[in-house]
Amino acid sequence: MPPDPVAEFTVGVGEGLYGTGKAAVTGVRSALTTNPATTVRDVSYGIAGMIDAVIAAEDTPARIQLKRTTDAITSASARDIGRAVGSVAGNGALAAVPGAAPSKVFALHHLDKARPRPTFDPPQVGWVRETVRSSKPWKLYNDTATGARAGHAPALTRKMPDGSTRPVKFDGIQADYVADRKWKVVDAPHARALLLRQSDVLAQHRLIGVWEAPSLAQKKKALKLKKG
Amino acid sequence: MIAKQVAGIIVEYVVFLELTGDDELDPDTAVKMSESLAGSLEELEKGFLRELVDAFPIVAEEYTGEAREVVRDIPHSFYLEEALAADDPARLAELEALRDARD
Repeated sequence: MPPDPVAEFTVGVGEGLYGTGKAAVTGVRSALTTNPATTVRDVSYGIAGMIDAVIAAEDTPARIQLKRTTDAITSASARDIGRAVGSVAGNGALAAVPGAAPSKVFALHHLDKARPRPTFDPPQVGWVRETVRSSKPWKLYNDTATGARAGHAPALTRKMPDGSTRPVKFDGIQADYVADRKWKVVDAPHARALLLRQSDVLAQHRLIGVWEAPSLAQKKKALKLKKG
Repeated sequence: MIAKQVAGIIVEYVVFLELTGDDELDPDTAVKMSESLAGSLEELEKGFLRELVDAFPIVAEEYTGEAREVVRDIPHSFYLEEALAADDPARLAELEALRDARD
């Protein structure tokens, strides 16, 4: 049976771009453990601006739009791509992006059996009042996480098995990453339970959590706790 | 004597943070306060910290059940033996092996 050119095209373009996206995400994830302040910020919403410009340039041929979009995607995260796709529809340039409106490009090429890919909604982050007060260094450390807000903590809503919801707090947030700062790692049951709560809520929201530690010693303890 | 009194205060705090239900105490806040306590304990003068670590098992006898286990585990949970052995690589390696075996 000959290969389906539409399906192969969709898969090829999608996987190729996801590959670029994944590489960008992986690079960012590893960078977060050493220099969280800079890297993620650079990979934020760049593609959204690109898409807007393309939409405005309606007279530009589709092949030019695709080329420009591909260049922009190179520095975007996979989720950033998905979000841009979710917020803009019906543009020929987006056909090169996973989950985009491939039917538009396929129509241009007389191909109309595209398989849509999943897109990602923006993270649903709430802000809860942070009432803990302290003049000690650990409080300053936690309060200066990237994306932190004075007097508040970013929180993700966790859906419990009984249908109720509970907030799970973090210290900072940027794009698809939420950060929990660990002044000192504690190896106690409630600390391990926190790990599980965070894992569960991150999975529910399809986000990535990062523990930031102030020293190599604390980082080693955190890694052991996560493996245990 | 003072070490046992201070150990008793720390124990009350730790038992509260570890065992209070989620409806009464936000569990994420409880962990944050434990991490803060860990930092404070680590900064104690080593001689006094040694006395505290030796006092926790004694104070543990004043508790029962799960609370007693929490108290007995304070040196482990807060890496206190590791803090005491900070300048002793051989001892640190031994403690790491003990911790790995326990986990």
